[in-house]
Amino acid sequence: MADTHIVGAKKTYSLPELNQWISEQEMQLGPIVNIADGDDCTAGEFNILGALPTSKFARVALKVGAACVLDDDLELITEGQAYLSGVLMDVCLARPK
Amino acid sequence: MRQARTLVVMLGLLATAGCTSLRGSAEPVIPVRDRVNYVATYPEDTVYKTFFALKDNCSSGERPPVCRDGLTRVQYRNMITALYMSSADARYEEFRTRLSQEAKGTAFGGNIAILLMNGISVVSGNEARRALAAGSAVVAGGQASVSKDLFIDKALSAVLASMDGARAEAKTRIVEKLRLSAEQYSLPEAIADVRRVEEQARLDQAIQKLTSTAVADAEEKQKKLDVAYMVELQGPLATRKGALLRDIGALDAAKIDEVIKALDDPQLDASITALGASPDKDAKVGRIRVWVHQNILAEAKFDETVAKLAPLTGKESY
Repeated sequence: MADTHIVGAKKTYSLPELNQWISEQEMQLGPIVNIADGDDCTAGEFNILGALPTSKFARVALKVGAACVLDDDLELITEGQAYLSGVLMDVCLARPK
Repeated sequence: MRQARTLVVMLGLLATAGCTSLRGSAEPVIPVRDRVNYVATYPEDTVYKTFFALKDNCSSGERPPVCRDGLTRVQYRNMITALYMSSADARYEEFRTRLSQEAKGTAFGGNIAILLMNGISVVSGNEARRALAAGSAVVAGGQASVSKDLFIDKALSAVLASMDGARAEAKTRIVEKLRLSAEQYSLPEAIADVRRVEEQARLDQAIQKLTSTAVADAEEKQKKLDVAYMVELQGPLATRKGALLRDIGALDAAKIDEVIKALDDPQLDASITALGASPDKDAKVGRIRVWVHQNILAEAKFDETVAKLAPLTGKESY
């Protein structure tokens, strides 16, 4: 049974900062499974029963129109929304294979 | 009549041009240069005078474009509009082809990627500009989560589709107005509308339109999550906490209970109790992760916790 924990990231983080934030939370909480806009922040949902990633941390990529544009070595976790430097944007959440 | 035949051909161009495919499109029957040059023989000031002239026929010695050569004002307006539109379409097709050919694997392509990612700044002010500046830096630095070429491939198609759509809308409005009388829709008005069609072939406007759509979609799909608390970037402390938590996770069930006891915290005890009568080891480890994550936010507290757990982990430091 999934057991998740949701924490918030500052909405003012840039894309590289948000990706760093995700990797830091994954080191401690477990793999991220969802990203969405929380109350005035970006909400990350982490599976606290999953193995703690030590590499291949999940990354956020900007969504282009309706499409997730990902390199071949990335696999999509989910699509969601995140604040990037204060702007709520459609994003893709992906992890290196 | 020679001009009447030209009118039929040009109206056909007006109705069909501007939607050619991105790649592998056939060579145009009339080369771009010829279509543009032909319009040059019908300069604006001359065609306006001719349009407003009272007589339909040419006087002796006169030749178009200084006279209408038997065309009514409506026919003349429609022919000139079609000519100008054909020229605009030719230019647009050339622009479109060049974009798709030159976009990939060149500095020009990189610039387009940056332009696309900066596009939101056109509509959303300073915050958006900062956001997309961050995205651009990722592309420019080659460390992107997205491939530049792949990005251009997908994004450029969307941008071109946006420009095509905007042009098609503007052209449809002209075609509708060409049914009006010469008094209701004059040639200068028609040429001004052709200029509006030309203005749709701008990358920044297309990007702005795409961005607006994305923002609208985002608002529609907005979903809020119940956030427990905010966490700031922690730097090396996060890595150290991760290492400690991996070691805790590797302990057996009995040792996990000892960890909980050693940490001796009412909040952690309460969260373990909330798991029910006999929670499994993984569930307890999950609660320890959350507790460590939430409560250890400074190096001193971390070192203190490491010392408490040293008899169980076998490590004095991380």
